[in-house]
Amino acid sequence: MNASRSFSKRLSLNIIGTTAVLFMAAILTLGVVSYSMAYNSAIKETSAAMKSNFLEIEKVLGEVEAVTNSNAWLVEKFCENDTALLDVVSNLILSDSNIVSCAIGFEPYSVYPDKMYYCPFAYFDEEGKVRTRMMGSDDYDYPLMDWYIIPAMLGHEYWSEPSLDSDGSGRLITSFSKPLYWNDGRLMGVIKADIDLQWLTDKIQSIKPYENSYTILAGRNGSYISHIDKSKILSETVYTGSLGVGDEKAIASIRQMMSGQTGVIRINRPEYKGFFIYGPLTNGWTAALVCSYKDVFSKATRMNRISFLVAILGLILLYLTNKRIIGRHVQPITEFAYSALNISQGNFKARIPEVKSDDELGRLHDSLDYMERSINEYIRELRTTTASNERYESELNVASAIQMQMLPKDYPKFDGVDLHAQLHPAKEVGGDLYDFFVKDRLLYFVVGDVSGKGVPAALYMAITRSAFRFIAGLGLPVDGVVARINNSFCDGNDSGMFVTMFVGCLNIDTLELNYCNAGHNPILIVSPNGKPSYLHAKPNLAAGLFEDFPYQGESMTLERGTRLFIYTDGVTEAENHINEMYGERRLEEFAGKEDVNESSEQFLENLRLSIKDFVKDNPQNDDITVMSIKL
Amino acid sequence: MKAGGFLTMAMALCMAVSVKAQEKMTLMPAWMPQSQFAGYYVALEKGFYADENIDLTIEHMGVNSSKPGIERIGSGEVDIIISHPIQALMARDYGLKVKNVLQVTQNTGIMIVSHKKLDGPQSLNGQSIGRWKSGFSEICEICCLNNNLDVKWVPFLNGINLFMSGAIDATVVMKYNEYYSLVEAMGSIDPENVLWFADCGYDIPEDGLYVTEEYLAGHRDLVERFCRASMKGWNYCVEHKEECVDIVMDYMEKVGVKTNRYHQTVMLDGMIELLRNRETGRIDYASIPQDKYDKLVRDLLKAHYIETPVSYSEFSK
Repeated sequence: MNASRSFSKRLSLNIIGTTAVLFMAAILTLGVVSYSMAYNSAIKETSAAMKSNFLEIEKVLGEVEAVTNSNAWLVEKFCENDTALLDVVSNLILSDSNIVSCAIGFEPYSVYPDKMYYCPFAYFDEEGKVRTRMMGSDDYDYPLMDWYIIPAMLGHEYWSEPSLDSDGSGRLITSFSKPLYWNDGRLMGVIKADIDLQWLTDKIQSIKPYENSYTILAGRNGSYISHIDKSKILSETVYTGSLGVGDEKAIASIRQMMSGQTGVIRINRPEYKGFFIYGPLTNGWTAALVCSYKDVFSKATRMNRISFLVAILGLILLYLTNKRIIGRHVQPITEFAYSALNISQGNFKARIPEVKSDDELGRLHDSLDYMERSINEYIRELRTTTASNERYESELNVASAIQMQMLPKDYPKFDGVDLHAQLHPAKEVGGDLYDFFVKDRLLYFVVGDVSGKGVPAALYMAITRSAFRFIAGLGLPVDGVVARINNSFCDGNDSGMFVTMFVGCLNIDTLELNYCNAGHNPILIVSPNGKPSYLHAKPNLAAGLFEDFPYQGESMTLERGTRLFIYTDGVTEAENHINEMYGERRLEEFAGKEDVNESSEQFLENLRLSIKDFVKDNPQNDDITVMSIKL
Repeated sequence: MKAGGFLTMAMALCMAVSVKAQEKMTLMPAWMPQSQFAGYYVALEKGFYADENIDLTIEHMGVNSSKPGIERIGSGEVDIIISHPIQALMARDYGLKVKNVLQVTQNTGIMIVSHKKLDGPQSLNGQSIGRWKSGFSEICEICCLNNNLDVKWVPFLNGINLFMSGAIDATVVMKYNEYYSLVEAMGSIDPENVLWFADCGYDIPEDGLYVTEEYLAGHRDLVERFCRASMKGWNYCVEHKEECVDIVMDYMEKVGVKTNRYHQTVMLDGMIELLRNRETGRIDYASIPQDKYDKLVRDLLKAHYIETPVSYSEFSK
């Protein structure tokens, strides 16, 4: 059940994870699009708001310019009439509600040779009545003041940089100044109309598309004319704050803002993130609407938060639902797993849950059912095979015992002749054989190797041994013995079996040895002085190959103390782990090192150890049969 | 009760005597309150003048006034003024016997900033240059005269608006004041558009304290005490810049001058730089060197700013 929960949980989480990624990608896309739309909308709306207000401001400024220009012609007409000039300036401030004071500054000594300062001036007193007076003194040296000298030098109309009114009211004013000229082109003076900027700052501050947005207005020299922080007005410029902290990037942005173009500057400071949208007024001033991203994106942020919450809730719901549905569908798998566990523990009759659907689960059920039936079938076959193998193995063991019993176990001494032999089959039964017997002071002996291995070879071995005993017992010469054995094998040898053999007949008294080598390994003769040498006999074929083959025997007389060593190819072809053979040379060296007086049994035992030492753990792959006859 | 009343009366008498012992004095800086005069405001606020038994009043000229302060000691409006050696020498030439009683700054702060690139005085040739009507820019005119330059000098009251309007090519500024006003107006100034007269062989010290000979004769001890307290004030500024800027800002607020802390801070830094001897880096309030003074008099005579030579001993106390 735990596995079921774990799988369904994991599957649910995988689905939720994938869904969450898709949701988040969708929300992110939605966020980017909504923020982008909000930003573009903000730019569009604020630009429109600014443009609209700019038009209103410029309309007012334009009216002031028009009124001033329309009165300018009166100045020359009444230039020597103080009263008339005072009427001109009085009428001027009454003709436009935005004008708070007005002056006509004449060039020093240009009207009256004895008057340096000549400047009719009109203003509203505290009660709103029009007052007039003549201005100009060391403490009001108007020809050098901005409103006069700048348009006079520029030769055209000029809106002065805002300043505090000199009447001490603390009122922020700006002046529209127009240079006036005599008919001969000489500068006559400058007429100016001062306007209170309160309405303008109010108008500017009314551009407030967002709760915390505000508008700044700066003069040509960067001084704040309007700012949400009133202490900055005329005290700081748009650059002051950035200069104070050495923010070169901000300074570059502000320079762009003050360039007289329209544009947007993005601000991405830790303490403030937002943008300036800016543009110039016709008189050269710059207004900028400052909006924080927090304000601009508030709706988009709220919408995105709601989307996010809905997505989270949806994911939770999806997880719970998925978990339940998947759990229900996974339940049969759990039961299958339980059944499989039972089967693996040996219960091959375990119940497999019923599934009727024709889907993956149905196929899983069929597979598991088929697997269970197959296992049961296999086990049945295995049991039968195992019983058969056990019987065969048992029979082989009996055969092996019989075969070994066929070989002589007693090695009687024959007047100083010491004979010993060993047979080590590679399997339970083998095709090697040895045998010997003494008849009439003659020692008959044979060592043979039947082709093939296993039971067929063992049967031939038994036949060969019987044939040798019988035929040699007839007193035939050794070549005759082999010829008779050959013919008996060739008769009806459909299986193509053959046997190599070395047959010898030793006269115990004379030590004359008659022998016939039928395709067998050369025997080794160790002389009494210990020198070994191979006896290369005439090349006869193995018995069983060609009927009536003319086998040739040979004879030789041996010295007392000589050792005869007969063996099968299992000795010389014994291999170690690198497939290197023991070989005739190594066998010859072994024989040469052994004590000449050593018993045959010891000789064979030492040889067994030598071969074992050579092959190490490499498995024996051929029968080994050895016989030592020490004279 | 009787003993307590007597003690109160005695204390009041002592205070009255103490106040009476303080001699009244009126100082007029060369302009409205700003860090250029921080040492005097600080000396007053920290009680350095009071410590010297001086009851100081600081009076400022009007913002639209073009009447030089030096004329105001002649008329007796004020006792002591802050002015420049050139103004003092010109006043003497007009017959107003003023004397330098303390040379505060050791270098000139006069610069010309142009809309065009400047490479030495010769590059001013043909330019229209704004200069203050109240003076202080004579050194520029002498320099141009000595270099035979054709310059149109345009007098104006103050500020940077004339230059910013584009009505003139260049304007005279003080290194510690209008220069930073222009920086605040434009964000930065290309150094190649600036000419500092200290680098042109006209490093004439500027702000100093001046009184009339008559006043000095009658108040020598008072003047010496005033100078001592003023130096103490400036020395205090060097060590306590932030506090001194606070004091200046208070003064400016009182008279309604619009400013900002950044401007007054850089101005104080600029003034302290001018207080130091350019070679030694020390602040020693040294009198103008005789050779520099003699060259200045020769230049003024040549330019007809003065018509009769003034000896070093006549100029300085």
